[in-house]
This record gives sequence, structure tokens and C-alpha cells, in this order.
Amino acid sequence: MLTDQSRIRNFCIIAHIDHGKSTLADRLLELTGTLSKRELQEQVLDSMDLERERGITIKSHAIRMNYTASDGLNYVLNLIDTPGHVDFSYEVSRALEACEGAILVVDAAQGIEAQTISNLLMAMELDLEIIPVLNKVDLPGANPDEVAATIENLIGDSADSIGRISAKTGEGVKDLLETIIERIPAPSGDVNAPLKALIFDSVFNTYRGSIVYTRVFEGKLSTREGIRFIATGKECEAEEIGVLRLKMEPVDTLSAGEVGYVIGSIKDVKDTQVGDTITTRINGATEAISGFREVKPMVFSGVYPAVSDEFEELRSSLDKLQLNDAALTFEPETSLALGFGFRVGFLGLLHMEIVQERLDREFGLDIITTVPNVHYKVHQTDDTWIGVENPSKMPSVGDISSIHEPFVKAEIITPSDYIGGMMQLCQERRGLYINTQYLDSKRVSLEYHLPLAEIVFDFYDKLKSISRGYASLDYDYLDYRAGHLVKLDVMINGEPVDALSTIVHRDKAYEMGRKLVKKLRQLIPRQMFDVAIQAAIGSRVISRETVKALRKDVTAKCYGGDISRKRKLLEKQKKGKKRMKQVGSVEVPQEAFLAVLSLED
Amino acid sequence: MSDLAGLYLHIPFCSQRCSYCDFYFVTTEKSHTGFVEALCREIELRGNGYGKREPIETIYFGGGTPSQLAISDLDRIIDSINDAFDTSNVLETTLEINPEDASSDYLNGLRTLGIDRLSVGVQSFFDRDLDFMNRVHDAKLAKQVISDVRKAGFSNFSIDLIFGVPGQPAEYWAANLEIAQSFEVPHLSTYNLTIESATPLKNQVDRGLIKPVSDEDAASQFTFTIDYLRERGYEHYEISSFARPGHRAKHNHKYWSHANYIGCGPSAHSFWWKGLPAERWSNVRNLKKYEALLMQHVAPLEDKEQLGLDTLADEYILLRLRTSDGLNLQELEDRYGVDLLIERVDELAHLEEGGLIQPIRNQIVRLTDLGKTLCDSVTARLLPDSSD
Repeated sequence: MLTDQSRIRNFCIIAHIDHGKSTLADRLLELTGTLSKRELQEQVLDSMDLERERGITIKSHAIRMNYTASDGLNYVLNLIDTPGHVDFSYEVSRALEACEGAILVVDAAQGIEAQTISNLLMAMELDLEIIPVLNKVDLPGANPDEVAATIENLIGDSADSIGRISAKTGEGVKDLLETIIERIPAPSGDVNAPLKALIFDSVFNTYRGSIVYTRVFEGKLSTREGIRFIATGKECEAEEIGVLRLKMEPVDTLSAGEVGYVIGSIKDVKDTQVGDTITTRINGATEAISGFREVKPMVFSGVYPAVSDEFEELRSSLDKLQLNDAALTFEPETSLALGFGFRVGFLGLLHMEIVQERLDREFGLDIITTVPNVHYKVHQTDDTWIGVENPSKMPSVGDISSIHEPFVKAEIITPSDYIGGMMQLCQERRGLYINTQYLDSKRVSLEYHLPLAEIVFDFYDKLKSISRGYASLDYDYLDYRAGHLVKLDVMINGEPVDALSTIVHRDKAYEMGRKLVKKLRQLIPRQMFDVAIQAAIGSRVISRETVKALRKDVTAKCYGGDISRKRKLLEKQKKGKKRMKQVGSVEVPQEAFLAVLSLED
Repeated sequence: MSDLAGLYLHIPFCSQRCSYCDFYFVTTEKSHTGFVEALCREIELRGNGYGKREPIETIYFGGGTPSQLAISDLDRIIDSINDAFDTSNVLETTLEINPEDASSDYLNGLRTLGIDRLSVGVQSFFDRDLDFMNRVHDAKLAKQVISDVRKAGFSNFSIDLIFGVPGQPAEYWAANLEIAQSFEVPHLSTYNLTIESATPLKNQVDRGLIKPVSDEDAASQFTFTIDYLRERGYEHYEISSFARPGHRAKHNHKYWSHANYIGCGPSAHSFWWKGLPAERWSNVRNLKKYEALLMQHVAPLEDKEQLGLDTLADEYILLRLRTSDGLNLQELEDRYGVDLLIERVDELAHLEEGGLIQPIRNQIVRLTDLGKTLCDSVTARLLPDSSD
């Protein structure tokens, strides 16, 4: 049975982390009877442990609810979940594209954040109907009037008309459901046109291959029909199609306006990319839904097994992660200090952290990651261009005509008290000031153009500490710009340590070199001989520190009982040693390879 | 010396607690009868365990303070040993003695029991140090005891001296060595004071009352000792042991050459390797428990571990590097199946280059004097990757 499009509402929730998106979703599921209170597990939509712990949604999903509105009619509500971090802004845009409306949830105490504004603007650009609500109005410290005024400035809705809810207690949520029916337009695609269905997510399942989450815009899709993915050109049969309730529920047909899933025999999520359009093999659409983009990694880091014999395990684990994560790229590389590993490309820092944690938790791998860096474009003196994703692979100074680095457009929203600190931080990070805009009397939005490389280093932490946690950041990639960049090398007892090379701005190289060797001196334990640590640009040493040799390390007594005690101690040391990396005859602990990340002022 | 076993007897009595000591002892026990009975039972039990009359080559009374036992008690213990083991090959019988116990009667008594080597707990010839360590004897007695021991007919004896004593005037350590060698002491054990956990000394350090000697100073006292005694005809044959020719400790040698030894008495440790796996075990560290178990003829076992060849190889390396005879790589390969010249060839080269080991000759790795100050670090670098 086809669902009447006028009874469908497709929407998503736009909210900052902790502003109550998941709790609101829970209430909607409960009020529509999609699941009972008893079944209601906290944060149903976030299925990965990691997501639940961090309170963020990494991969988007969707859920279908049935709702009988006060007009006595039955409606189908599709809530499409969106990821909540800048690294995934493209995925967010595709999830928004799949909707006709969005609920904007703002914490009545904390006010609107940069992330939320950026997603909101994206939703407005896509002409979504925005329903703003203030959440946590029941909490002490809530300041609904002020926050409502900010929202009014942003979207033009009168502050008085903005709904006030408590997702936690359920207060106001029933009214919100009615507002959704009332205000969000029903889909209106032509059911008889050739099929056009947007992929807004896909996940890999060991038994079934790639499972595609999709929103049908035009036409209809039936089970067993041949389908084609327009951008990748991949073709297969729709072996199973269905709708997404708490579990996947097969149906015979998905038609214009509906949200559901498609399973073919697709072994690789790379063939089912987010943003691509599904059509039928026969009489299919020729034009794709606009907005498709191939996602490219922006941040790179060396990932090495802590114990060298786990290289193959690392490879197969990355392979498995990639099945579910089309944005993850990796290729083998070798480091003199760290041995065999991979240069892994990530969408951004959060994506990097997530991958690291999943390698640790899901695969039990102990890994060392080198300091993250961006992708550089190098114009060489012979007029050729090369891309550099690993600082140690930077050509020698004589062969470089210019080095170009990615810039981002950054928006920082901060309480106006911290505006000076923010501007100073951005200047230190080589930011170009663009604009200031007051959102209300207390909050201001700063726009800067910043080198991505400067954000990769602890920028977010600094921003949070300057603003006592109140400022928020959003950024979008702009372009590549030439910069006065140099490669800073580190040598330990005269041996260059490739994994510690970094690209830095010329003006910062001396300070960075000094701090880096100082930090390394603290991290490298005393050994049986002096250890010289040097920082150099090209052949010029700019900083040097020495780890003085151990003077005494000998057990005085070694008789009957001392022997097993001593041996156990040495065996423990031996285990620890396995985690040390050898640079020449120097044993370097793994933390040293991330020293750049924790340089103090 | 052959592969015959050594026998260790732990006598857990002391009249007072030395501030640095972490061996097992009690200071409150007035009567030794129960203990002596229990120890004799254990000796009997152990002897039976090895099919009776296992040949032993060395006997060592350690503690605690073995010289707290009366001659009659020692006599009883030695009788038990003679009953339970084959003692016809015994080459050395050592007893640790404190200066305050070394009356001429007592020393003569020990001679008649067949004790032929003494290890005297001198520690220092200065009252300041002896007070610091909470020893019973004073400096005068420390010197007196050496001539008394000689007078009683003991030509083979050792004295213990401790260096790295916090707050000690710089001249004292050289003076201690000077006095010892002036007495022509045949064997010296020089220990770097170690701050062991659960000792009064550790407590004082933790409370900031005592500042430990720096590694730099301890290392220079250590190398000074090596130079000083070597020039005066002593062999530095193990990290903490110096001997005039012919006076090496035969019993201790068993520990360092992976020979078998049986320890009796509370907290005593044993090692037994006749076929794999080898075993190490220790006795309960509690006198009352020890006595109670033996009253029921139960072995007073606390811990037992089995050692495979990989573990034994680790031990052998750590033990042999402490000795001047060195680590024999051929022996390591033949007996333990580890070829260090393949497994650790780079490390060996680094260590030689850094002056920590001597150039390898006849397959033997020996530490240099610099290497001795960093013995544990060198050992850690040479342990093979085990399959354990």
C-alpha cells in the first residue's frame, strides 16, 4: 500500500551537543507509540557505544513513526538523524536535503552555538521549514526570553511564537508534534516520474553488504527491481527494500516522499556514497539530485602498531573500518623510527579520534599515531606540482618553489567578554580577520580565515579554555594559499626521526623547535649514555637539549630470593621495552611521537 | 666446583631491627626451641624429598642473625643436616655473625661444630654510621671482632660494609675500606645501601627526614671501591663481592651459576633444576605459621613457580653479567638455546661502543667498570625476546 504523500512529514533535529537532541528523539518515539517507555533505552538512535559515551551522533540514521494527529488523521513521521560535528558537515547537508523541515533545538540556558548556526544556515539554504524550540526551560539558569530573541534575529520567527519544551519531562512535546504536522510541508514528488532517491547514509553489514538509507524524491522503487547509482555507475538489484522502524521492516515498494532502506549485493560502501542518487536501471532518471560531492580527507596522520608484529592486524582492522566509513583512506608507509604502518586520511580531528578509539576498542589494537598534519600542495622549481601528506616526504628546500596549505573559513561564537582573547588566539594562529557580528547583546560571531594546520594543533582546546567552555567553533574549507612554510626536523643523537618532522610557518619555527626539544627531553628517559636532541631546519640546527646519562642502575644484593624478584622486574621492563621505539641506540617512548601536540608555553 | 647443591638455613632472630633491613626476622622471640625443632623437621622433610642423602657441597646459615642461636641449637641443626643429606662433599660451611655475639667461647664453639667460614656484619667502622643503621655494636667492637675471629682460628671470613649511607662524611667510606684492608680481610661484601619498601629507613625517607645519597655520589663510591680494592689485590668477582685469591664465597657462587640450592627456615628460597621445568619456591614468611605447619609435617611452602628455558635464560643472563667470570655465550646457547650473537647483535655492538661491556673474547661478555654501575640497564638491553 502506497502512503499518501500528504500524510508524510520528513524532518530532522538541529541541535548542539548536549542541547537535548537525543532526549527529544526519545520523547517523540514514546509519544508516537513507536516504542514503549519500557523499551526505551537511553538515546536509541545512537547505537555505537562510542557515540553514547561522547553524547554525539557520528552516523546518521532514520526512524519512521506513526502518529494520529488532533485532526484525527494518521500521519507517517520520518525523523532523520544528523551527525553533529564539523568533520561531518557534508553528511549533515545530505541528511538535511532528505527533509522538508527541521526542528531547531536550543538550550534555553546556554544559547545557540556555532555548530547549530552553521547547520541552521545550511537548512535555510535548502529551504527547509524551521521549527525553533527552546529546550530545558524547566532548568534553573534558563534564560528563554534572551535566547528566543537571538533566534528571532536569526530566522525571523517572532520570539513569542517559539515553542518552549522540556524534552526530559516531555513538557511541550505533544504540541511540537502538532506543529510538525501543521508547518512542515508534505513531500510532493511525482510518483510517476523516473526514480530519484537520495542516499543520505550507508552502513556495512557483514552478511548483507552495504545497506543504503535513502529518501525517495520521485518515482517508486520495488523489490527485485534493477537499480543504478548515478555517480558511481554501480548497478545491482534491489534485493530487499524496507522502512526503518526500530528494526528494518521490509516492504514491496518505496515511493516518492518515503524514507527507507535498500539492500543489494553491494560489497563496498564506496559504491554507495552519501549524496549519490539511486535510480532504476530501466527507464531511470538521467539527472542526479544536485549536491553530490566526493568526500576527501583533510587531516592525515601516521598510524603504526605499537608492537611491530601487529602490522597485518592493523591493516585488516583498517580494511574493516573502511567498509563502514567511506571517508577513511589509508596507504602503507614506512618510518625509520616506527617501522611499518599507514598514512591515514581523516575528515577532521574528531574523525581521527573516533578511528583511533575504534581501533583500540573494537579491534584491541595498541597503536601509535603521529602528529596530524594537513595535505600540502607543493609547487616545485621544475614547475611541477606534488601533494604532500607526510611532512618527512617534503622535497628538499632547493626543489621547492612554494608550499600551499588549505585555509578554512572559521566562525567562532563567543560571549562578548572573551572577544579579545579569541581575536588574539586567531592572530597567533595566522588568522585573517573577516567580520564581527553581534547575535545579541552578549554573544558575538567572529569570522576568520585560518590555515587548517593551525586548527589541527590544539586550537579547539585553547578556544574552550579562553572562553571557559562557552565559545564554539565551526569551519568550512575555503582554498589553498601559499605560505612561508618550512620543514622542522628532529634528530636524536644525530639521527633524524622522520615521525617527528613537522611543517611549520617560518616565523614560528624557532619557538616550536625550542619547545619541542625541551618537551622531548622530558619524555625520553635517561639512558646509559647522553642523548642529544636537536631541532633543525634543513641542515641548520636551531635548538638542542641533552638527556644526561644514567649514573647508577645496579641491584646491590642478588641472592636466593632476590633472583626471581629481579627477574620479574626485568621482565616487566622487557614488556615496556616492546613499546619503546629504537632510534639508533636510543629507546624512545611512544608518547614522544605526540610531543608536538602537548607543547606548553 | 661441581654441580652439587647448596643448603641455606634462615635463622629469623635479631636483637633489634636494623633500619635498612627487609629480610624476614623477629625481635621478640626469647625461646628458640620451637623454631629449632621445626627447622630440623624441615631439613628431614627436604632430605626425604630428594630420596634421602642428596649430596650437598655448601652450607650457609643466614638471617636474621644466626649467631643468636646457642651452640647447642646449631649442633642439633647440623646433626639433622648430616642425617638428611650426604655431607661428605661439603667444601664450605658459613655462618653470619654479628660482632656483639662473637665472644671467644662462641667462636670456639662454632669451630668445633665444623663451621669454617664466617660472614661478619660489620657494616661500618664508624659509630655515626652504626647509630644511623641502628646496629647493636659500636666501632670499637667492629675492629675488635676481626682479630677475635682470626684468633679463634678462622682464616676464611668475610665482612659486610655498606656505602651510600645518607649524611655520611665524605672521608668515611675510603676510611672504612682502608681499615678493612689493613686487617687483610680475605673477603669483603660491599653493599650500596638500598632503600627497601616497608623498612624504617624508607619511612624516614618518605617523611623527608633523610635525603638519599644521589646516584652520582653512590656511583662514584662504587667505582672508587672497585679501583681501591683491585689495587690492593682483591678480585671484584661479583657486583658486591671482593675476594683475595682463593677466598671467593662458594655458597654464593651457586646462586650466580644457576646451581641448585635448598633453603630451609621461614622465608627461605630454593631453586631446583633437574630437567624442565625448573622450580623456584619460597617458604612462608611467618615464624608461627612455619612452626605450626612443620608440627604437622607439612612443607611450609608459600610460593612455587615453574621456569621454562626462556625464563631460565633471562635469569642466567642477569646472574652472569654480575660476575667477573662473565656471561658465556656458548654456554647460553648450549644449555639455554639462546644465541645472543644473533638475537642481540646490535645491542652488543652499541654496548661495546659505549664502553659498557668489554670486547667479547672467547664468547664471553663481561661488564666494564662503567658497565657495572649500570648493570641492570645493560642486562635489560641484552635479554632476548622470549616466546613466553
